[in-house]
Amino acid sequence: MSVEAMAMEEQPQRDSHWALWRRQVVGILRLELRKNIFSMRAALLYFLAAVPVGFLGLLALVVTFKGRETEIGPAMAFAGFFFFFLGLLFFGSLITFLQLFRGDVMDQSLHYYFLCPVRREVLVAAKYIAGVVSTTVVMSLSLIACYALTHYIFVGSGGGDPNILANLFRYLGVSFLAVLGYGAVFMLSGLYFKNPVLFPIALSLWELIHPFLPALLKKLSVIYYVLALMPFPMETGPFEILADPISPFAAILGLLALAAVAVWLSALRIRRMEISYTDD
Amino acid sequence: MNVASPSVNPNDRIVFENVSRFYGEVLGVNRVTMTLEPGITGLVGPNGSGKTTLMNLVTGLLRPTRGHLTILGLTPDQPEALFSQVGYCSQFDSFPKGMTGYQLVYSFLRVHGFAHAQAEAMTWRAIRRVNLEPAAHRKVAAYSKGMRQRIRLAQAISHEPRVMVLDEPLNGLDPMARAEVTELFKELRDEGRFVILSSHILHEVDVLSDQVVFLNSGYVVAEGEVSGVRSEIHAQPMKVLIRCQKPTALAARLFDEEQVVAAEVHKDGGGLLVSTRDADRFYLRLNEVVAEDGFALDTVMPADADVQAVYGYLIGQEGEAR
Repeated sequence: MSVEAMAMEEQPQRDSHWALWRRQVVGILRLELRKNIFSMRAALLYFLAAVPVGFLGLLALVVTFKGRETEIGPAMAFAGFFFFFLGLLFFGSLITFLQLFRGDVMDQSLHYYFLCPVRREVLVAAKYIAGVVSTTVVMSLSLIACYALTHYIFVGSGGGDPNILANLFRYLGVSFLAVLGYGAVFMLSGLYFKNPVLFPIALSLWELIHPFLPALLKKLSVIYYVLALMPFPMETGPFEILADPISPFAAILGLLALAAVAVWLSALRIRRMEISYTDD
Repeated sequence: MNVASPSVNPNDRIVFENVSRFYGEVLGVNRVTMTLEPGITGLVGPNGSGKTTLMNLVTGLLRPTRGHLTILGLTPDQPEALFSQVGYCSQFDSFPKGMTGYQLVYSFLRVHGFAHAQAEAMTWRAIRRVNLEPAAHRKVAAYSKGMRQRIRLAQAISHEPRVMVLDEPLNGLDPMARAEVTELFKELRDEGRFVILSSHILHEVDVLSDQVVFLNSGYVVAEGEVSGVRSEIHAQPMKVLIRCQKPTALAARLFDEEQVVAAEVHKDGGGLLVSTRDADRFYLRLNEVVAEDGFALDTVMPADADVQAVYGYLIGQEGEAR
């Protein structure tokens, strides 16, 4: 058999670009999910996810033995807690997405992908999807546990939550979108900034001062869109500069657009990326 | 400068056109213009000469700062087409963590886009070719250096690429494995593929390579078949080893010939070493001398037309054995 014939036989069936890209994305997902969920890289993510569960678990024990004394109902209690949880989502996304490419560069294994006949854009998309899936799965499990514990701790004191499941799904959706937004931004920053610390610090400050930003600048933060999707409106203090309220639909579109732009810029960066192994 | 005769398909070659690559202000390779044809091409040169840079350019891991490079008519901007044709066994000893040898190759093929059954079959074929079948399901991290080298090789050849770029592929291999891998390279060459390899073991490059590229300080000093390169080095007279019964007499007879620069009896006494600036004319004259004076010759062979000698002449002994 000639070399050309052998090569033709060995090529993946190229029925269409989409079919090939789908198979390649699946191939990359297999590797990335394993790295993001089942390796030491994921240890910090698991720790972050476990912290609120542990804290609420302890509180639940205290409540069980000492009784409930609070006036706050479970819905409002969890709404307040979710602010804190957003911070965990921020850092959870930071841990996962900053390492998507930087981690491979650090352990010098990025060439494994770069030597495959895979478009760099497909690689970026697949790694991003893997990051979203792994962070969302781990943090969602934490969120569900926290939600259940919050309802156990606060039930009876301020009345139950009649929309308990609907609100849970809404929080899960908001978490997913937050990971989508933060993840895309952190993946981008991991590719463009050599120092992995400065940008996350700057972004966290930006997100923290979000209530006091002018209306136009608010739209350049992830939290602006996330807050618009919360089941209950959030008050962020007397000094908040009010902006036009944004509809949930527009907020979702805004987050998706932000993520799309960040992923596209990441793809541009990766397309030009080079790898050099030695000084030879 | 073409290394070999032109092939039928004009795209069936690797073409460097004035390719330069700089790392900031540091030179990687400079003004490389050459065409590589199918077969085994050896890259030799001291550390920092640009061998790995040249390999990284061919595999698209680096882009030229200047110039143009095509591999089988493709450029690194066409990764889907290019990387299905190129396999790279890098010298870099790092792998995605936690994988077995089998998983490493299999996952690589899945990222290529091969379906499970096809990827599985191709993985076993590649692993068998490098004789690593018994250790296929062991973690790569637990492999010996030679096994890691072989699994890298399996990965590089697993998708049956036309162009195989192998950076120091014999490093860490024991003599038996070395012989097996050398045979594999010959098989790949016989299948009509491009095998571009670098090695610091000049003898092996000499035995394996159809053509050799000599690099020094980022420049291609010479390239082509070793004998052809040797004949172009006019500054160094060619040495010819003649095995015969009467070396002293033959040396005295040849010393008068105008093509002969020096003639000395070999240290083992069983022949002589003749230095000449015109090997072709010397061989003709030698035939005449033998016929005229009745010398009985056992063998006549070039003594310094191998990679080792040419390397010494072109690059100097300071780069030896790196």
